[in-house]
Amino acid sequence: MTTQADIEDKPKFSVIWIIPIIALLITGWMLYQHQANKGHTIFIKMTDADGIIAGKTEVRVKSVKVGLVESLKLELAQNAVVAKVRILQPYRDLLAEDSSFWVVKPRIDESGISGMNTLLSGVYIELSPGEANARSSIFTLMDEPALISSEVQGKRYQLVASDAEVLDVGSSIFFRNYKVGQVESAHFSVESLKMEYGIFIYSPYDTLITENAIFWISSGIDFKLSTEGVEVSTGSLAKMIKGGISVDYPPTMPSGTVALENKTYALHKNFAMALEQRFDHFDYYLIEFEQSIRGLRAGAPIEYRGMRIGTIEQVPATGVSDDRPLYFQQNNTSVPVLVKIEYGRIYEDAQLAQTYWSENIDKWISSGLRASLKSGNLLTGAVYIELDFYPSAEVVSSNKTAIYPVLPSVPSGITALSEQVTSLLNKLNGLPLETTVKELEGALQQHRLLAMEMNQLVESINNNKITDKIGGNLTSLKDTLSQLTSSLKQFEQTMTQYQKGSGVMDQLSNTLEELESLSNRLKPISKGLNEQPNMLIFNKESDADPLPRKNK
Amino acid sequence: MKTGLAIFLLLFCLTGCITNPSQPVSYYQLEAKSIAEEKRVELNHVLLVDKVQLIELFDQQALVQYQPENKVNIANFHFWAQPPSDMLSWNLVNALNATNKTTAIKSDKFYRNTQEHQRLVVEINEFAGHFEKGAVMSGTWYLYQYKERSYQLTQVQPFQFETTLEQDGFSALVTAHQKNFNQLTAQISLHL
Repeated sequence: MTTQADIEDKPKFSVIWIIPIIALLITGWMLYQHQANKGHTIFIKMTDADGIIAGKTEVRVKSVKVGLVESLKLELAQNAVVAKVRILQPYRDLLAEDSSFWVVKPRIDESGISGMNTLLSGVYIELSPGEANARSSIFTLMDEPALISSEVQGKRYQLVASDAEVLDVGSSIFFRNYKVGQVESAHFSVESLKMEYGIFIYSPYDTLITENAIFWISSGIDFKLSTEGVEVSTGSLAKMIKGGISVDYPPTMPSGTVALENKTYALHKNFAMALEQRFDHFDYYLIEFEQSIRGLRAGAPIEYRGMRIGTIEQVPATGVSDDRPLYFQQNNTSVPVLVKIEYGRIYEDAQLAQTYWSENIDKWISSGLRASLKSGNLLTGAVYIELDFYPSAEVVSSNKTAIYPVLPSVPSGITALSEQVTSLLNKLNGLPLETTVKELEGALQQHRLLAMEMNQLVESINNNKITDKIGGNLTSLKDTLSQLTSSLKQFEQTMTQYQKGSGVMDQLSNTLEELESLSNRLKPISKGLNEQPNMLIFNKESDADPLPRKNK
Repeated sequence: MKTGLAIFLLLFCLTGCITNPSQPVSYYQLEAKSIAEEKRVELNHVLLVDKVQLIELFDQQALVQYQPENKVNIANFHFWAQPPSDMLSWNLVNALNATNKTTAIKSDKFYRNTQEHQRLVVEINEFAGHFEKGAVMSGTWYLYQYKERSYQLTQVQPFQFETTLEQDGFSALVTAHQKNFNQLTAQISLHL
């Protein structure tokens, strides 16, 4: 009997292979995990790797380690060092495109001393996370720490300064001496030849920045020599050292509405300039003086009866008329001065003031409105221009040049004095002296008549026995005096009751004696209380009196 | 229940504060000489006696003793029965009246007569016990004569008396004071 073996087909996949496959999968998973846990690699470009050590220098956010510098590579072509940094996996989201990196190391600057802990631990790189959605792997190391963290709430504005001194990044911004922000960026614009600052105002102080806000450099010490005298003002010591920018509202103006972010403001040299410059609603006028203008400076005030209405702009005016300077005009020996009539000084609503001024200026000039030089400060010799009405002034036409309207002037000083003397003499000449003398003569005649009437009156008084009546009054006065004497005697008698030995005095004496006796009786109690204040509650704990001894 | 307990505790504590005085208080009085009952009042020989003036230390009811080292003890348990100035004034009037040389009247007792009389002013600078000397009394007395509606000083006499104690104790001290006072009245009456 033959048996035939069953031949089974060889399985195509041996079960034994499951084991290496699983091992392979585990290995792959472990490699993936390893790679995934290594984190994200970024590159930070820096000009100098001072203090940074590969494998040691950490990257931190708020002092928490988020990465490590793996290697440093010198890029000669770019004259820079590139650091390869691995950011830990959980912190990948911090690598926004606008994130910033800087080295934390010991620093001493105007804001104080910082980073002293790195003296022992070594420097580290601080990461300031950005807000952008896009991520990046290449960053540039900042030379200075980021001033304003992206988490800080506030608003940014622009300041433009044409002649103010240059401030550093990080300078503080003060609102009434309280720090409300700081300068974020500062650069000189080649195009406009002005300094442009980016400033950041912390929330909630950003609501202080309104449309009417004015900015000026607060250098700490302000020295001003003007027609109003010498003015020196100083700020706090910190401000004197650090300087900064002040922001406030003009004293007489409301704060206005809150400004939009990124609004550009002018940065002025000082507070006075800031106040001056806000009067941007003005008209130029030309004033021609037929006298010396020594002491008149640009910036000096122009006033109307003490009220400032404008500012001297150019002394002398350098305008050109008919291709010639103004003071080259034929038959013109005057010195032209260019002034600004600033309507904001006349009234808060500058537009309304301008309308009022324009409508009336010709009428005022024809009525005698003239400009004259006045001494503002005897010490410095500074002068200013004052407008006033001189009715006797020569009539002039209101427009002489094609460039600016002209405000006519009158000479001041000796010239003006002589004019005033002339005016006075004219008035004296105009007085009706003859009529006055005649009236005076009439008044003297009336006076003589009055004297005669008085004489008659005195005689009639004598005849009417007035002296008898006076004698009767004297008699009644005598009676009154005798009554008064009687009253005084009664008063004297009353007073004798209070003399020594009288009943009243005896009673008083007895009362005083009783009081003295009472005082004597209270002495032991007073002594006891002095020695033991609580003796009224507790028993008196006095020492026994020393026993008088018989002399041995 | 709690309220009752609290009241009990309070009363208990207060009871603890109340103790008997440790030593009884004694009062003393100088002996006043009796005046003869049938003494004839002679208003033509009047002596007005001003209230005796003592310096403040001694013008108090507590008995005062000089102690060694310039210390002064003001007694806590031994007092004069009345203020010394009153006691000495009245005793002086009584004693001078007892001499039958004058009619002594206290000057504040409504004597208004303008006839001639005398006036006595006594100032006492010391009136105390002394740890060595016994009882001391010193001072000055002044005698004025009323003439022509004004007082004329006729006599000034300083005095100083010291009497040793015959035995220990405050009673002996008061007795010594009494002797000093008697010497004073004797001296004054001698010059009247």
